[in-house]
Amino acid sequence: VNDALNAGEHPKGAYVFRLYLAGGAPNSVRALANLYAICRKHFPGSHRIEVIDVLKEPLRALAAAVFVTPTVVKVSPAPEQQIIGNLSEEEAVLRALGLPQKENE
Amino acid sequence: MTATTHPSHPAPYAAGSELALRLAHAEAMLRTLTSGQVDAIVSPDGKIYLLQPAEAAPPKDRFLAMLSHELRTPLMPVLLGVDELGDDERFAAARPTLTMMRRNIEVQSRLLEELTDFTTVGQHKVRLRPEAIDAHEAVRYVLEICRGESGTALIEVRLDLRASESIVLADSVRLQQIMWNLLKNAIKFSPPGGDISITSANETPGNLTLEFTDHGIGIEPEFLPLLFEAFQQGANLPQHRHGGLGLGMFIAKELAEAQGGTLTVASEGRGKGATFRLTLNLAPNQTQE
Repeated sequence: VNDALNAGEHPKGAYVFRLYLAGGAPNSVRALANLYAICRKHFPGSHRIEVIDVLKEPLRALAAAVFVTPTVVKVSPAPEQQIIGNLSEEEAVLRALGLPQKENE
Repeated sequence: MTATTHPSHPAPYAAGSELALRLAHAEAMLRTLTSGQVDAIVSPDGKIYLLQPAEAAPPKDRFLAMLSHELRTPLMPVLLGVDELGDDERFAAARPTLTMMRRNIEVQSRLLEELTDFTTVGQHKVRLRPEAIDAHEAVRYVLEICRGESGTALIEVRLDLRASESIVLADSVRLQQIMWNLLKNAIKFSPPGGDISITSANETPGNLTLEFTDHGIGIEPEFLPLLFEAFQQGANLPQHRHGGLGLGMFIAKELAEAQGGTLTVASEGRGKGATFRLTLNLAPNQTQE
């Protein structure tokens, strides 16, 4: 959980996400895994995920108006958007965050 | 009083209107919240409440009750056998091993007892026989029991039982169980050479308050609300390495409340110890009017 940074090679136009989770709670772990998978697939090399454990930093959650976990905030590209849940539905996640979908298969 | 005027809004559900978007957002939010995909809630004062998994319910309780009973039964003959061997001079050399075996069987038995209790207490099925008993005497008795157990030798327990009225209305076995849990908990989280204090007071008419204070590892504020939740020790609290099922405090609180008392906890934070406060009702004829 701590070593969750995956610095993008292309800071220009990079996709930056902030994931608020609650330690190793089941949905939090699932959300982290799903977010990684989505990023690797759709934004390889140009994404960054910042993980905030609300058990350790509750005030950061409050400051960002995050009231439940897991919550993912898309910081950039603007506009900033947040969704909650374990991010298991990839398409819905991309749609909700207004992100382009890559048709790989 | 001043009247406020509202600017005229577009039709509430007009496609693309802000209200329509907000409604859609709220609806999606509600769907996610009720889908079991959320595992913690951040309250406006910064406390984190971990949610129990949705399936933590009756069938599991029944299973646990049965399982814990079934698992305990075979331990008793083993315990008797170990005792028999211990009394036999021919096995004198094996006594340390037998002692170790006995201790482990007892631990196992207690863990299973916790499970059984959890299922009966958690379902409010516990039967209580309230009577007038001296809480001070109960504290001393429980302390005596704990002193005989391993790990207690290096901890100093100071008693300051200054309440003038200490006869409470409680089920004596269950009261001792609460106290035992509180004391064992304090010992468990104290460093070697640490000290624990048990104090009593009549803070409000008709009540006796007992405080169990340790100077051990303490509890971080965000974990305080979880402390009395069943199974929380293993799942989320940093005390995982201290063993046990994480049911002791849940059981203690349920038992305290079942006899009209309360059990609360306070801690200044990590490394700053903790104080458990048990409030009990005084037996009626003793209450001052």
